[in-house]
Order: sequence, then C-alpha cells, then structure tokens
Amino acid sequence: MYFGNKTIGQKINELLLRLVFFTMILAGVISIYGLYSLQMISKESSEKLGETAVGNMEKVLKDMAVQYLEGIAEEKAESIQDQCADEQSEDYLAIAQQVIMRTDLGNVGCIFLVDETGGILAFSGRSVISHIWHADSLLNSENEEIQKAALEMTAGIGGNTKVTVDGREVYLVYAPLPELGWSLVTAMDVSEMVIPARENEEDILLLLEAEKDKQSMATANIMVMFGLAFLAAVCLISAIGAHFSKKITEPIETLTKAVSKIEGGKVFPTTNIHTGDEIEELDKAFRNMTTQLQEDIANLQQVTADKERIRTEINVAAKVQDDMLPKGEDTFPERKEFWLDALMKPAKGVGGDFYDFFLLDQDHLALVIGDVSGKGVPAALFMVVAKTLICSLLSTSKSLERAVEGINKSLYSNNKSEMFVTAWIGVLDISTGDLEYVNAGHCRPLILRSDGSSAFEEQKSGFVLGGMEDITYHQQMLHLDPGDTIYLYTDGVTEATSVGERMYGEKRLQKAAGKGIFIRPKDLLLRIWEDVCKFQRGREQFDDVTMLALTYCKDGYFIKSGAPLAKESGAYVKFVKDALVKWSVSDQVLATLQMAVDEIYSNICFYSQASEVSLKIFIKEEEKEVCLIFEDDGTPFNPLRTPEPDLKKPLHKRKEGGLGMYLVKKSMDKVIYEYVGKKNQLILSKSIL
Amino acid sequence: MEVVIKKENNVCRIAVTEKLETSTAPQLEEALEKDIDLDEIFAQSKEKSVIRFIMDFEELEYISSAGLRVILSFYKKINDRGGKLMVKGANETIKDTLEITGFSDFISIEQEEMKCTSETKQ
Repeated sequence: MYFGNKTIGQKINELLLRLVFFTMILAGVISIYGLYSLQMISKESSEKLGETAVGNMEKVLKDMAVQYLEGIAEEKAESIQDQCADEQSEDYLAIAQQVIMRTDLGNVGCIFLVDETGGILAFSGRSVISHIWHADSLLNSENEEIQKAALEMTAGIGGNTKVTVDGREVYLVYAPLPELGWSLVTAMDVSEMVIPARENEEDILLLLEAEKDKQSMATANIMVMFGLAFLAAVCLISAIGAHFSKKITEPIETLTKAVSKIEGGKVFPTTNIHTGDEIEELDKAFRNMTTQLQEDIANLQQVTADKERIRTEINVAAKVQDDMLPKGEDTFPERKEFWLDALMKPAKGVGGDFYDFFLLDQDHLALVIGDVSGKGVPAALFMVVAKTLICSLLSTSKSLERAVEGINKSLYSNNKSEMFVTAWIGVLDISTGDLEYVNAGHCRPLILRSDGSSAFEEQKSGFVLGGMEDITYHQQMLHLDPGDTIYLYTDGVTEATSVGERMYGEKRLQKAAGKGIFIRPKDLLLRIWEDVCKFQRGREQFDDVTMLALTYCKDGYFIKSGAPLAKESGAYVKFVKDALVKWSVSDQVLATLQMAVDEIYSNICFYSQASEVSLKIFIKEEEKEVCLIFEDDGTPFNPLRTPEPDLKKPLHKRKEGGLGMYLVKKSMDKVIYEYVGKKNQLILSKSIL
Repeated sequence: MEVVIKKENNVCRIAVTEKLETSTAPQLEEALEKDIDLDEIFAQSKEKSVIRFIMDFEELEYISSAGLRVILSFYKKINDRGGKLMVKGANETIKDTLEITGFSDFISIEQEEMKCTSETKQ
C-alpha cells in the first residue's frame, strides 16, 4: 500500500532512533573526552607524584644529612675544645684523635681534622675520605670546590658546602676549633645516602604505573559498558518504538483500509476504534461521513436516475417531434413542379416551432410554419396539438379561412395555460402557381423572384391562433412564377442576437438570401442558417429557428450533378436533349442549347478546379423559355467578363481558343452570372419558340 | 460521331456527322492528322490548280468551340500551302456559329451537294 512511503510508525521509530543515536553519540563524545582528560591528568599527576616524592625525600635526606653533619661537627668540635681545656694536656691532637675515632658516621660518612695548612691530622670513615684526600693539603686539592672549602677551613670559618668528587655528591660541614687553629670537618656521600631513596622511587613509580594500568582498564571497561548500554538502548527503543508506533498506526491502518473499501461507493465498512485519542475522534468522524455518504449516494443515484430518465425522455420526445415533421427535399421525389426543403434547429431538446407540408390533393400543396409561445416541453406539447389540428382541418375544411378559424377555435378551447401559436398557413395551386394563405400573427415571408428581385410579402397579418375565440381570418393570395422561391421562417431567425445585442433583422435576412432564380431550397436554407450562425457567434442560440423554402418550377425541372469530368460532357449534352424531349423545342434551339452545355461544362472541367458541378434545367412553359443553370464550387470566375475575340483578324493569324464563352453569350437570349453561397452560378435562358 | 474522308483529284471531302464538340473534336483532329497527308496531296498536284478541302456538315447538328479549334488548326495548315477550305451543307445553327465567330469571313459556306466515290471510315 505504501509504495516508497513510510508508515507513521516507521517514521516515529526512525525519529526516536535518531534522537537516541545523537544523544548517545553526544554523551559518548563527552564521556570519551572526560575519560581521556582524566587519564591524562592522572598520568601526569602520578609521574609528578613519583618525581616529587623522590625529590622531596632526597632533599629531606640531604637536609637531614647537613643538620646531622653540622650537629656532629659542632658537638665534636665543642667536645674536643672542652676536653682540651679540661685535660690541661698539651696533646690536643691525641684528644682530638680520640674524639674522632669514637665518632662513627657509618659507611657513607667521615669526620676529619684539618690543620691550619690544610693537612688532615686525623680522620674516621675511610671510604669517603679517600675521595677527598688526594694531596698533602686540601688547599692543593685538584678539586676547586674542595680548595675553596679548604680556604674557609684554614681561615677558621665554619660552614658547609657540597662538593662533587669522582662523580659523587659529598657534603662537607666544617666547624673551626679556634683555640687550636684547626677545623673539624664532617663529610657525607649523599649519593650513597640517597640510594635507598632512589630504590624507593622505583617502587613508587611501579606502584603508580600499576595504578595507571588499573585506570586504563577501568576506562576501557567504561567504554565497553557504554557501548553495550548504547546497543541495549537502541534495541530497547526500537522495540518500544515499534510497539508504540504499532499501537498508534494500527487504528490508522484500520481506518485507511476501511476508507479504501469505499471506493466505488458500493461497500460501507464499519469501524470501531477505541484508542481514546484523536484517532478515535477521526474514526467517529469517519463513521459519520460514511453514513452521510451513503445517504448522499442514494440521493444522488435517485437524482441522476431521474435526470437521466428525463433526458432520455426529452431525447425521445425530440425524436418523436422530429419524426412528425416531413423530411425536406425527399418528401415528394416524383413532383417536379416544385422543390422544397425545411430546416429546424430547436434551442433546447424539444421546441415549440413547427413546419409542415403535405398534398391536399394532386394539385394542392399545403405549407405551414408556426411558432408556439414559450419554449421547451410545454411549447412542444402545444405544438403537437396545433400541428395535428392544422393538418386535419386543412384537409377537411371548405376554404382556408374557415379552416384557420376552426383551428383557432379548437386551440382556444381548453387552453387554460393561455398559450398561443403564430402561424403562416398557405395552399399552393401547383398547376397555376397561385398561393392562398392566412397569416396568423407570423413573420411575413420573403419572396425571391426569378427576375433576381426579392421582397417581403406586404399583406397585413391576422391575429395569433388560440389567443381569442371567434376571430375571423381573411385569406390572401400571392402568385409564384416558375423560378420564384418563397421563404418562410420563424422569429428565431430575425431575432437572433449578436454578442453586441443587435438583432439579425429582415434586412440582413434579405441580403443573405441573395438572388434566387430557381434556387435549390436546401442551398438557400443552409446559406441563411450559416449567416445566422455567423451573426450570433459567441452566443448561445436563444430561440428555436425554423425555415421552410419552396421553389416553384411549375412544369418541372431536371438536375444532373457530379464531379466535373471532361469525358462526361457528352452525357450532359444528352441530358439536355432528354430533358427537352417532350417539349416542342426546335432542332436549332436544341442544337444551340447542347452546344452551350458543351461549352460551359467543358469550361468548368478544364478551368474551375471544382469538385462538383450541377446542371439544372427548368422549362418556363408560359414564357416559352428554357433555363439552364450551372453551379460549381470552383474558383470564383465570371465568364461574362472575358475579353471578346477579335473577329476581324484573319483566321490564319488567330490563336486557338477563347471562342466558347463568346459563342454562348451570342447564342443565348440571356446569360446571368452570380457567385453566391460559395458557388459559381451561371444561368442561361433561351426562348423555345 | 463519324468522320468520312474522301480524296478525288483536287478535292478532299471530309464528312462529319452528329456533333462536333468537346468529346468528339479529338476524333476529328486525329482523323485529319492520320488520313490526310497534306504534303503528299500538295506534291501530287502537278498543275498549279487550287486544292479544295470541303467540310461536309450535311449530317452535323452543331459545332462547339472545341470543334472550331480543330477546324482553325486545319485551316492554317491548308492556308499555308495555298489550299482552300470550304463548308458545305451546314444547318442554321452551324452557320450561326461560323458567323458569330467570324469564321464565315474566311471559309466559304455553300449548300452544294457532291457525290463521293471512295470512302474511308473512322
């Protein structure tokens, strides 16, 4: 579960371990430093102690030796002088000798008597004197220290001095015998005397050394103990840490597992954690959340299901509504007298706009366009009623006026919600082109005439349907000539709004419709719809948009279309011949028309780069005129602007080409070019009389 | 379309039927190129008499500019060699076409009927 991550327990453990580790390291460093310092100090002090002990002992010994020697010298000098005074004897030397002989200074000491010339009169203690007494007189001694001492002795001055002879330190203490003129000297070999002390020093040093080893041992022991304690602490803390962190994280893991089970919102596990801390609080919150979530999910499922159901129903309704309306171009494939198409774009799934067209009989076509007040489902429901009523009453009523009045009456009754419909209802006499209509508060239609003009129908409109009872409607009449087109629409077109809050309006509509001579209704509707979309770009479509267009051909039209291919030119030429076969067209006119088709079609093939070309043939029987309409989606090109060939030029000097379009212009009665709806449109008219 | 070429002394007769248009013009062009050796024809004429080429449009419905192009091209070759091109049996439509384009100023249009002896069918 924790890819590359650490659990809280692991983190706590790690933290504790780090803490302990650093503490121990710190403690260890301090201890080692302390122990080291201690060892160094003890080593130094023991060495000093050793040295000091020995030094002091030596000094003490030497001091003691000097005092001892002084004591002896003074005592014996006094003793000699006293005896000499008491004895009254003249043999002072003998007295002195006796005193000296009786004095024992051991192996390391000696006592001797020096006369006024520095000669030694008597002595005791051979070992030491042998080092001092080399010459007859001490004054002649090779040793300067001895000479110096001897001078003081012979001068009758008392004192003491240290002399070094033969590498031995010898203390000399001399006391004068003023009455005899001699000096009594006591001497002691200190080197010999401190030997025991030296021996003692070694013992002390050995002892100290032993002590030092003990200290090192103790230090090492402490270190080992310390290490062991460290290890033990680490282990203990790890164990304790693991235990505690497990105690802390176990409930968290339980919670985590529980939460992860909720994924998908299908399982709701129950948890029950009693840790007495924040985690228990968290668990409580989690349980509350789970309960809330369960409720929310249930609610959401219900709401979603409802919404989905409504959406599906709206989609189905939109489909049902769409199915109710006839499908444009393909509705009457066998009728060549008129050409129609419709387009409906509801703002929402379903709308209140509708259109309809149906044959009342073989010679009468009903055209209906309507707009229910309001939008969405209520408008759609009302629209169905209105459409059905219109269809049934138009089929059964004696006149259009009565039919519309009946429709109004029916719509008004049981209309508590006060909805109404604006509608334009017309019936076309297919054989004459007369179009009777009633306008019930609807937008006035746009008529595109075959002479290239266009205008909105000016007649006054009647009242809306379903708004008031007993309204009288008056039918009006307009006439369509072959090639004319009537364009019906709802206010969704003219009231389409731009980002700048401007309305599309009739002027713009008229301009977008352009000229329409035998215009294909599908093309017209698409052209206008694209213009409306362009106009309201950046804004959501607000109202339903519905359009219906009918082009009246009267006696029929023919169309052939496809990709422009030079090898097909013969087929298009043949198409003209076939189309006109039942009309009494003279051979000459037929030949001219075929020639024109050959010229224009091959021009399109060779120069237009079009992907599609169409040729429509209309026969205006009344005018006894044939119209050929070429349309291609190639490069815009007005063939009427091509320069005329120089016909005066002798044939043998002429270049080939450039004659085709000239021929067409000269042989047709009328040639019109227009670039409209991204198509080149060339209309050729020729009288068939 | 059919092209029938007949050669007889100083007259070469070219009969074209149905339509002379974009789809058929190349056929005529090929026939004129292949079946009429102008060098040979003009070399054979020992006398200095004018050699006439007659386009027989008796059975032709109309000519489009593609056809005019072939005729113009053929006319230039003949004109260079001092020959003469004529059109016979043209209907009103063809006459109109030739007049509109100014061809009739240089090519004489006659209604004369002529018999043919040998044929080459295309």
